[in-house]
Amino acid sequence: MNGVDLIPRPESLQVPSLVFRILLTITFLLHLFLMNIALGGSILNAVYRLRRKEIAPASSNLPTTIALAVNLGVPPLLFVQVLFGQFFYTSSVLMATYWLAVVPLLILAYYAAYLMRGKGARVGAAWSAISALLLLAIAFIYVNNMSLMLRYGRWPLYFADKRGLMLNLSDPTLFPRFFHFVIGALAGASISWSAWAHFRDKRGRGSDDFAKAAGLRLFWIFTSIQMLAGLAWLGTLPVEAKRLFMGGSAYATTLLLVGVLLAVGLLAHAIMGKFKIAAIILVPVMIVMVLMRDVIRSSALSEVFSAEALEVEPQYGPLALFVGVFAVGIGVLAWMIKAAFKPSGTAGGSK
Amino acid sequence: MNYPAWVIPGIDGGLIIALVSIIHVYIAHFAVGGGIFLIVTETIARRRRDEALLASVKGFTKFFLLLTMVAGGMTGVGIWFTIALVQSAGTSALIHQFVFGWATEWVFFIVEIVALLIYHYLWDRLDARTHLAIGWIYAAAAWLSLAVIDGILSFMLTPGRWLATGSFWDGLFNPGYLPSLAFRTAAALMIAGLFGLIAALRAKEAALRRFLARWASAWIVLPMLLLLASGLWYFAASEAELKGEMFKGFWFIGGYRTTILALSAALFAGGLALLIRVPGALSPAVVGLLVALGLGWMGSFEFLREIARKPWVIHGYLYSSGVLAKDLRRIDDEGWLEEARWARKFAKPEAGEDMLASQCLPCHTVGGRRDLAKLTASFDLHSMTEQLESQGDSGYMPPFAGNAEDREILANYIVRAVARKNGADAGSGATEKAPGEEEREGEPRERH
Repeated sequence: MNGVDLIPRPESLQVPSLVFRILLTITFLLHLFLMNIALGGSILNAVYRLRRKEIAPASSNLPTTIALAVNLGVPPLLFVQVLFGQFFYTSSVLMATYWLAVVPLLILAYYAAYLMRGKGARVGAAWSAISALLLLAIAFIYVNNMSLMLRYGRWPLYFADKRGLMLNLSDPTLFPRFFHFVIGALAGASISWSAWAHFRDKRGRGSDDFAKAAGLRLFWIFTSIQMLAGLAWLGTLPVEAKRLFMGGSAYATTLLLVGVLLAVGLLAHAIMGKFKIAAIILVPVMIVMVLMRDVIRSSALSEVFSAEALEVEPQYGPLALFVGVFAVGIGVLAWMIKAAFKPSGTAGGSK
Repeated sequence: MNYPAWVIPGIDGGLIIALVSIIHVYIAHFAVGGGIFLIVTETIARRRRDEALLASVKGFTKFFLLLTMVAGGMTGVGIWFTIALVQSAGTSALIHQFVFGWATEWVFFIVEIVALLIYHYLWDRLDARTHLAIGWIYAAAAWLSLAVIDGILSFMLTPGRWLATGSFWDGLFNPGYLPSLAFRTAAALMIAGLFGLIAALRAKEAALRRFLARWASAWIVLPMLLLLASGLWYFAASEAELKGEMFKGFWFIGGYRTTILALSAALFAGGLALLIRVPGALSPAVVGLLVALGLGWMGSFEFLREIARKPWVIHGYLYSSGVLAKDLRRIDDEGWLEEARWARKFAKPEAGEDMLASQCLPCHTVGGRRDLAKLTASFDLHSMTEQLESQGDSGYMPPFAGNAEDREILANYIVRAVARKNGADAGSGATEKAPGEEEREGEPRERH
């Protein structure tokens, strides 16, 4: 039996697949920003508290960041199910026991982050380390699922054991992919320290030169490692995917070139201590990374799947409802955030 | 059949869904009703310039945030994970049909989160007007997220015209939508009252304690009246839509109905007692009991809804066995093994095992709840085949999907490998000698 026969029949879409691809890319990117700060921030916070015996910059924001990272994880997970449901549900069932464990792990990680707040350096470090380890476990489970869904050749192993205990450990791309995300999270969390110090300064709540400088320094160190990890991931990809980035596809090759160039520029500005420019370049770098990830996914599935070929039974009303509510929602969010950051008479400390 | 089935020895998927969903549904209703409770109470406190009451509301907000945002929000994601694993086909259908409904609900969800974070963390820094506005935004967003999700939940029981039109709007605003929304809104207010008693418990000063206890009890007792009216409406509308067959075949349904009525009466009596006899009756034990009764009440309602829907995941569209109603006749003619993706078609006991996993184990187990080993203990091949032939008539089990050959393969497998045995392993593949080994030559085994 080969895996191709097992791929479930897909369902039709209500709007062309391009709409979902765009929504998936944008929302995944937003999720990635927050996930980086939550995961990388928890690790950095634990290490920092242990080594320096004091509370790391911005660490009291971690529970809120986890809440928002989870929230922003909902739409990409939704759109991935719409576009790739027949692959995603299948791999989820094959590793069901681990996949379901994400939920309790997340609840514990979240409560641990709350328990970390207001604690001293050492106890706080312990809670932050617990939170970080739980989040790392979740990241590992995610990387397994997102890669197992592409490896339908392995799916027939299900018949030997239906208890949902399969992982994708034999996939050569698994660990490079995992480390690429974790180191990226560390880099993202580092620069978030600088951003945090920058905004504090701007709002007149005292400057924290240490956070600004240390954040940027850690950022370029992790980014350098990150580039190596990225190349390692690229190196372990199947030949067909590698070829796309090496001239086989103009689009993929351009992405890789632009990505490397931007990353070098990012690194240079970070080393020079130019926070603002580095932060601005980071956005296109991450966009390019997300698009490259998409190329890898499409390439892995190219023989059996094309999103464009999915049947469309058009219904545009629901999309209009979403776009309308989204526009109003953005307005309400903007108003609330503006109201929250409005300078007030009482000089209350940050809570 | 289109998707693989997750087989956990001794545990059926429905039980896992129930465990996650009852906790979530209870907290999620509290998240809706509690938002209204908080903002109304805060408004009263500010109008009266009652600093002690205001401080109580503030303290309660922290509890509310930790419970609804962490446990509530995360188990919400958890239900989604769970149903995708237990009912992949049903989840896929709901996601594809309502993707922009879910996406819309997500917008309300993020507004909810940001509003609640600001409402809690910036309590002292915002001026009263802005703070109240943020509180109202939270309450509105939380209720609106219920208003969206209610469409999808009620759709599963009464899809109505959607079955013919396939229109998103027909599905969302199905015949059960409004009564269900009224019912859930009332439930949310009542649950807010139940948890509101915790705020009363925490109040130190006697007058404040008395006020909060009375106030919270009123939130239990008054919504109960709306709950009763909307419950009858919901029941009548669903029963009319399903032509009186909602509980067909469920001889034990009376027990559930009695439970839910008894729990309702207990909650009503408890709330009323507190309303009249405070603060004497207010104690952690009483509050704990009422909150627990509330959980039981919510749980029995969800069970009732689950049973009403059987044998369907989406009524009239998709069976709990993952078979689409429109495909049933074709599958009966051409064979389940012919149609199924996740089956070893050319090996008999293995095919039987896969059919069992797909068609039986969504609701049954081997060795646990609704134990097939026990239920089929007295069956021989002939009676087992007959059972499969006629099981769709019962009203609560889906029809067996497949032709005579499929029935024979499954009946054989059940009689030989499942029935009477202490078959905790059946279905996980362990009862057969390395099933499917010949198809997987050269592939390393991956067991963990």
